[in-house]
Amino acid sequence: MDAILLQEIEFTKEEVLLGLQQYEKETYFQIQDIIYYPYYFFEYQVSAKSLLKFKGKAACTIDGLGGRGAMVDVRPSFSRKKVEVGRFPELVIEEEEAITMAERFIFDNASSKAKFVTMPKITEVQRNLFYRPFWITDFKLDNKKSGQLIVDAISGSYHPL
Amino acid sequence: MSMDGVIFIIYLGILLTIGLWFSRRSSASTEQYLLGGRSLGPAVTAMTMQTTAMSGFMFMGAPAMAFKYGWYAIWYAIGDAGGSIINLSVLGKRMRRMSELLGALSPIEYLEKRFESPSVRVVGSIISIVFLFGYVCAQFIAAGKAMSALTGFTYELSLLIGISVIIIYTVAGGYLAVAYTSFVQGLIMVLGVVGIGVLAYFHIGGLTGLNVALKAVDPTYLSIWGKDLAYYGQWGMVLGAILIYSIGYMGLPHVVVRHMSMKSTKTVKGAVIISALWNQFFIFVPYILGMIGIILLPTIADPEMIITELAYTLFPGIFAALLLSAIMSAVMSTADSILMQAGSILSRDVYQRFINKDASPKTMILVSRLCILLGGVVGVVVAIYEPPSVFALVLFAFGTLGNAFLVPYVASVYSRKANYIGCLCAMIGGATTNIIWTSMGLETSTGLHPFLAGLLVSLLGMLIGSRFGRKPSDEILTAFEQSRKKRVFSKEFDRNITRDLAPEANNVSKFLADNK
Repeated sequence: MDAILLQEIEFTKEEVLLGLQQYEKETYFQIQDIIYYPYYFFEYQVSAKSLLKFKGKAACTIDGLGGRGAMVDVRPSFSRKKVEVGRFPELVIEEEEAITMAERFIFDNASSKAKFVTMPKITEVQRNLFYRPFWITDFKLDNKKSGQLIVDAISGSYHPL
Repeated sequence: MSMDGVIFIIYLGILLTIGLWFSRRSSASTEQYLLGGRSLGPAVTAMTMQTTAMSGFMFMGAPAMAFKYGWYAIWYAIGDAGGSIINLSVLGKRMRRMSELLGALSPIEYLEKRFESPSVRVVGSIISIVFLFGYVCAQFIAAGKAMSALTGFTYELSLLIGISVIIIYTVAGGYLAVAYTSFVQGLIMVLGVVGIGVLAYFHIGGLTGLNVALKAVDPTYLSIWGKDLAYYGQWGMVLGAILIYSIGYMGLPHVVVRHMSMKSTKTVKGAVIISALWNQFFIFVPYILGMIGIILLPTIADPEMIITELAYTLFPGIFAALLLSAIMSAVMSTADSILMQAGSILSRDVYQRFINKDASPKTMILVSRLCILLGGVVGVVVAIYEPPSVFALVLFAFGTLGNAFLVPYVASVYSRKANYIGCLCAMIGGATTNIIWTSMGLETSTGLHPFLAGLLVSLLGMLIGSRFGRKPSDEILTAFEQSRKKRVFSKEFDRNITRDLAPEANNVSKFLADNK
């Protein structure tokens, strides 16, 4: 496989298991796999006519499988690597489609949050397709029920499947 | 211009300077993104949320209600305080699961997806807009009164000056500017109102002193049925008073914007908790001050000005003016945000959807701003020519919302049969009944609170309407069954699940199922 742009794992297998076990002492957790989830990253320069200065950068991601937008808080660091282990879902949203979605998303968010009278000027300064690692975790409850969770290897947040 | 007016102008100047300073600072930083929202700490976030919640109703409507009815008014405060709890505990879990499954971002979008009909979204949006404009009009009236007290100008002139000044200030301010100035305002208001509360409370001899004094004026002030026992034995009125706020919140058309953390940072859940706890305490203070007003200010011409009058009675003039300036700006800032919300609903859900599907962002912002302008003008005209009381207006707005949305929300997670016809009948029937009941004053002849009457009609609408039209699809029925499943994890583990990850979880599930 070619080298891809990705976010480096911040929560290791051991840290994830420790974190989950902290809340669910009676449940058995086991990391089963790692999945690299595709996202498009867009960075924009936003400026608007305003009495107070409104000029700065804003960024968002577009989910490469579902097309949903999310605002980004701080400048991310990506690295280009060849990945040997892990699974890669196939991209559903094409780049052109993602560009339109991102522009609309950032525009809506900027115009609702920042309250300017005229249309803000949005200029794209960076665009990347990157992969974010999620741990696929099996769990078995003490009543024998079992299932799976995804755990974000960057933020440590989780959601059952 | 009076000294108080000068203080107000200086106050606005300071707020603008704070805004300007933070705006410059924010654009210099490239590490943190402008709209990402993480650069605000939990304290600023909590106070900003609080300032948005503090509206003209809290400072003017609630004390006036308590001044009129005595302890009966507390029913409304109980409903208000318990509102979020009811939302979270009764409907919360099932609705949250269901909206995750349906991928809805706002309460109205949720109804549209659950009942599988765009008409549900349109009717829901229109009802929300009626509420938003009613609410914004109440803010205008409150602002006009506060400005008039500050400057000594007539109410009409004060209203126009107040609206112009504050709209320039808020519309011109960037995101961080608004957030940080809200923080300063929030701090002044919280300290001011708590200060007035504490001073007045001890001045009157605590709750016992208050009750003894109220009894001496009129013993029926102490009754839970209202002054002169106006609602004696009318549980329908009491229930309506409690429910109106508990449920009205569910109809608010807010949209949740998803955030993605790019580093492993701790979430700002603390802010929500601080804000919720503070609300529980703060809700009761204006009502108690209203009752203190019965004793300390028995001849006040306008009971909606009780907090202002108490501020001037108990504090030196300069502090009272400062507090009033903060109230005034917060009220207008709330009004401005609501107008922005109404404008974007109209442009997105009505204009883009039905009139011009391919509207460019430029057209959208133009339509949205025109709607705001129109709404603002109508609001000002109503506020000048037919000014109802702030309390009556807010009560009416919340009543309409609650009646339109309570039954559809409950039915969406508790009834398999509930469909879009039922939902439309419930929304239209409930809201219309409330409007008719309120405008014709039917509560006195029937003993039924407008909210309760609306609720009954809405329920009937859902039951009868759901017998007609197409049935919920298999997809919805599956989501319905899934949302009823019991929690499998411990409470703590469940609470920490990141709901924002629901779309990713769904996509990963599909991927794993397809690649087994």
